[in-house]
Amino acid sequence: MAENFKVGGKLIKSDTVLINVQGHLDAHTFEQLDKVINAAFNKNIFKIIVNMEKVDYISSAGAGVFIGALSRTQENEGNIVLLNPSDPVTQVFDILGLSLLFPVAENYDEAMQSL
Amino acid sequence: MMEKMQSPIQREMLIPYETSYLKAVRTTISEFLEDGPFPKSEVNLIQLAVDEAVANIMEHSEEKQKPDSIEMCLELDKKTFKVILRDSGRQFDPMTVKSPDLKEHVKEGKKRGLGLLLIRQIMDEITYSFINGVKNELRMIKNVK
Repeated sequence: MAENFKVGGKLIKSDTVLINVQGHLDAHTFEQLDKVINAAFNKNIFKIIVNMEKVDYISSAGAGVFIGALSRTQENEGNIVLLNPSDPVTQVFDILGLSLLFPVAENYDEAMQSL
Repeated sequence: MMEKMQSPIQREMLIPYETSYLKAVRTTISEFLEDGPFPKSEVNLIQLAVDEAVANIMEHSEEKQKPDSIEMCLELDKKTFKVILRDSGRQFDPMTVKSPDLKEHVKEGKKRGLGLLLIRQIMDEITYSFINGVKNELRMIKNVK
């Protein structure tokens, strides 16, 4: 189980960023993810893949980052895709009714096709 | 474990007003409920509900509260899990807050405000009182199914 929170983004195409998130995404750590997503927006990148495979825990603060980003990406002909969401992520998104709003991909190619 | 549980198990924790302590809160809940009457999936949800409640208290706290701590009292018996959270902040009854309309929430790109929705979905009973004019007290109960 990942003990420490880590988040990092990398450009995989000129208009697409892959963000890897690891650990607990809660009210203490959510701003770090928010910062990485906003950095993408500031570079006019609105196609975002977030690898959620190693997210061991997510609270509403973490889910809120995605809600905050969704409209912005879609207004700019982009989207935000959840790549391999872990069980905790799926559970919380289901409870909040968010699962239908975000494209989910099982692998990288599928994620790219969703954008 | 259930058969051996004769009397309620209790535990208390003082939580500083720092979000870095949320992980410790979750660990405390998880350890407290381990080998108890709730399956792992429900323990995870209870952990989430308590996390949300504590994070809410922290978010709405005032600077003058910071030297104090949030009191968390846990109680477990064969049929129920109870958590009581007490803080010395301004009087605030979270039960008066309406659950957000999710569609509007997403449309407006609102990042916060979903914690109460989660708590209400997860816990079976939630009650609030303002104790002696000085402390907020939030009680949440989860029943064993």
